[in-house]
Amino acid sequence: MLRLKDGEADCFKELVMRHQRSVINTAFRVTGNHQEAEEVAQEVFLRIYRAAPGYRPDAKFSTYLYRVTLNLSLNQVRKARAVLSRFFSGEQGFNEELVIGEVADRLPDTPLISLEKKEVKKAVRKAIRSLPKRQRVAIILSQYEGLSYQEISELLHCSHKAVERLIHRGKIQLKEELASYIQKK
Amino acid sequence: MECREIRKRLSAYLDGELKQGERERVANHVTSCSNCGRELRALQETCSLLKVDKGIEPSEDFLLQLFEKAGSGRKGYQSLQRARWSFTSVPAFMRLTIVLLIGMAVGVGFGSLTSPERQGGVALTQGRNVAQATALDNFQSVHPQSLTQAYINLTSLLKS
Repeated sequence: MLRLKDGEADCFKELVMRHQRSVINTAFRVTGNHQEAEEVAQEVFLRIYRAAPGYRPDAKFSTYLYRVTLNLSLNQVRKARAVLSRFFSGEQGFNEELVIGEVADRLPDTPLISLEKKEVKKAVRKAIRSLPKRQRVAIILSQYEGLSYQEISELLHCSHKAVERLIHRGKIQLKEELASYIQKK
Repeated sequence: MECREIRKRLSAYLDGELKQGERERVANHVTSCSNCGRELRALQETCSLLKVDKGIEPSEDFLLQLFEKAGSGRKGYQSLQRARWSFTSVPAFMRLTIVLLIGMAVGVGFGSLTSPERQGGVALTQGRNVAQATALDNFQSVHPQSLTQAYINLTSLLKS
């Protein structure tokens, strides 16, 4: 990032290559939509590129990157929810998250993925999307991105204990949502 | 009461976030309490299920679209592709060859600048100017290895 700040344009590609998978997947797990996740990820890298001249290494770069990713992902979720609410407001039992999820979860037919695994994957994604926002973010960051509770607390601006509670409640809810798959095992 | 407190810490225990003393307390409790042990296993299974989702791969044109949005377009993307080549990516023996070739080119170039012929040429020009000024070109000293001297020698030889 400091090299990018110093005008080494070729290292921008290096930066993108190193972090693109992590950014796209974080955005995907928050938004539930592949295309939106890539759009969010591109916006994340564009903002970083434009902000490079004024970049100050006050904190870890990854913290900065996750913060931008989460902000843009959650904005995207709010936008999508607002659009769907406008069209479907008043419909009983309407849940925007599940609608977004049903569209997103049309997993491509890949012979390598067994039907059962596909089903589990779909269920996992749906379960994560059903979590309240802060629990969802905490679970994604800890279980998929490998961040520590301390790092998550800095990102979410809350205490270490609060993160522990968020993750624990999130896991309890996931356990209940995925109970049938756990029993199968 | 203790079970309730222990269960609250089970996620942190699984994530390796507890300090040693707390970790031992939880570990000892779940070993002896079947209910808490069962709860711990259920949470472990849940975490394993989460890992089934390995995520998605970036699409093939993700980078291209990114650079297009950045305003660089395809040219910018290609120039960045070229910029990725660096001297260190070349095999060692090729690097040595390149260095030697560059050295030779520099040496030849430098040598031609400081060669006696060139110096003689300069002296010749200077000499001509002096000779013109003084009409004493026969007495102008020239470099023994210069073209001028060679010409003088040749003419002397022919005369003789």
